[in-house]
Amino acid sequence: MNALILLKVAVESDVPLKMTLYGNSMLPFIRSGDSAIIKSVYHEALNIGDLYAFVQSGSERLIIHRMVKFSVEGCEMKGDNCNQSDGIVPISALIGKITRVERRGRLIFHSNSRKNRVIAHLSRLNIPFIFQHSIDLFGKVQRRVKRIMQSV
Amino acid sequence: MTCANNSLLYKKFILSENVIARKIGEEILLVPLHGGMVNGEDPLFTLSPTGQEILSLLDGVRSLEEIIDYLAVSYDGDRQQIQEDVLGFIQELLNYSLVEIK
Repeated sequence: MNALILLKVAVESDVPLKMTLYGNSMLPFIRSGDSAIIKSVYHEALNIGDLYAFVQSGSERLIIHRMVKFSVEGCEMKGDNCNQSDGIVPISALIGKITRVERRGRLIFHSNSRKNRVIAHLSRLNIPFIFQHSIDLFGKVQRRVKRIMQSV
Repeated sequence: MTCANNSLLYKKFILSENVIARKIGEEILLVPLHGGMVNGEDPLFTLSPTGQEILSLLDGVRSLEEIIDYLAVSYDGDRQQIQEDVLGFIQELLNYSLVEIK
């Protein structure tokens, strides 16, 4: 709730907001704890592959996901680590655009990059989701095997 | 009441240039800026209606003493109590660099 209020205040005042991102919906590209700079969406181009902050209708929760498709009805938003998209979000629901994401001071994402467009296509095919879940599954199997080996 | 606090009485204050003030419902939200940017990790400051009135009187023209005089007449209250409340409030705003001395 605080993040949404702060973002709205920053957007109205036309100043960037620096905030920490939480959650796993953007794995493997964005991790919980990464730091993002968000600017008002009004002065920024709308690009497939870029990350946008929005609120879904009937909710007060701020979501930061990737735009994977653009049409006259709005844009299709999706978390890279989600097997389903958020559906079509009207452009008016977009509040901010994530212009850069840093992890421990290292730049790991910046907007308006061609790479983002490629990731958007992969995300629509659920490839990051499958990749992330394969890693998670492999990790679980590895930990279980280790426990069994220790108990023998 | 400290001497340091009392010395504030003769000073004039304004809202810092590095603060955004926005009305959200009945409250005023003060958001500090760092390097021209809002930091999501910063605490949020909300002002009660009394705090809002004091803030609106910080115009950089009237001293704190004049503001306290005005409030004491407006509210017909105990001047000493109003002075302590206003000084405590201003000190809190100063601690977070939300106001500056003109």
